Amino acid sequence: MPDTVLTHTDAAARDPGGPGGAEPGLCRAAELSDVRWYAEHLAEDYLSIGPDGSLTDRGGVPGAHRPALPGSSPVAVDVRIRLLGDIALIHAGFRDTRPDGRVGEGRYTDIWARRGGAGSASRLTSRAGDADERPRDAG
Amino acid sequence: MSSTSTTFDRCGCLDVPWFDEHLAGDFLNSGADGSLVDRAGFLAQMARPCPVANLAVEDVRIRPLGEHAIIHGRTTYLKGGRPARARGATPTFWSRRRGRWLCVSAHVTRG
Repeated sequence: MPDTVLTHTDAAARDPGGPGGAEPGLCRAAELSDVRWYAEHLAEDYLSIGPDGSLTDRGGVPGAHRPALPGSSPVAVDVRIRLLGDIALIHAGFRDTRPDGRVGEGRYTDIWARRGGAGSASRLTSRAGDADERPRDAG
Repeated sequence: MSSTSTTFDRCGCLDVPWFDEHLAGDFLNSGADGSLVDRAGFLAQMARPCPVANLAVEDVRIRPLGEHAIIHGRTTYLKGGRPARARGATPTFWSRRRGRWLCVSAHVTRG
C-alpha cells in the first residue's frame, strides 16, 4: 500500500525538492520549451509516451510535448501524489489553450524516482496527454 | 512480469477475474476519455462490452526499479468496424507486495 496520498500543495510543503515542488515547473517547461529545466529534472533513462503510443526518450522531449507553445498556459488540475518509498506516482489532469483559442484538456501520469540522495528527485516517466478539445465557453 | 504485462494488454476487456487478481487495492487508472477511476470503477468498466476489437500489444519494454517496475507497450486495435488498426498505449506501474506483483497504476491512451 502507498505510504501516503498527498495533494500537490501538501507534497510540496513536505519535500520542496521532491516531485510536488518540481511538478509546476513541468508546466512552465512545456510552455516555454525550457531545455534547461528538462536537463535538470529528467532522468537519463527517461521515457515519455504520447497519446498515439509513440515513445520519446530524454533527448527528444522538448519538441515532443504538444503544449510546447508560448501562450498555451498549461495548468495541472486535480493533482494526486502517491508516495511509495523513493517512488512517487502523480495522477493529474491538465488544461491548456490551443492555437485557435479553444481549451484543451486531458490527463497525465508522471512517475518520479529519487536518485542520488535526498532532494534529488528526477522525473522518470511517463506523460500521456489525451487531449479533448472543446470550445472555451463550454465550461 | 513479461507474461503478466502482456496479459494486461491483451485481455483488454471482459476478463474481470484476471483484473481482480492482479490489481492492487489502491489501483488507479487514467482513461483515454480523461477519467480517473479506482479499482472498483475499473472493474466495472471492464465488465461492460468492449469498444475495441482485436486488441494486441507490441514493443513491450519492462523497466525494473527494485520492488517496482514500469511497463511500456504499444497497443493496436480495431474500432468502429474500421479496417485500419488504430494505435495507443497502456503504460502500467507494478509493485511487488508480499511476494506478488500487483498493478498499481495504468494510463490508457487511444491514438
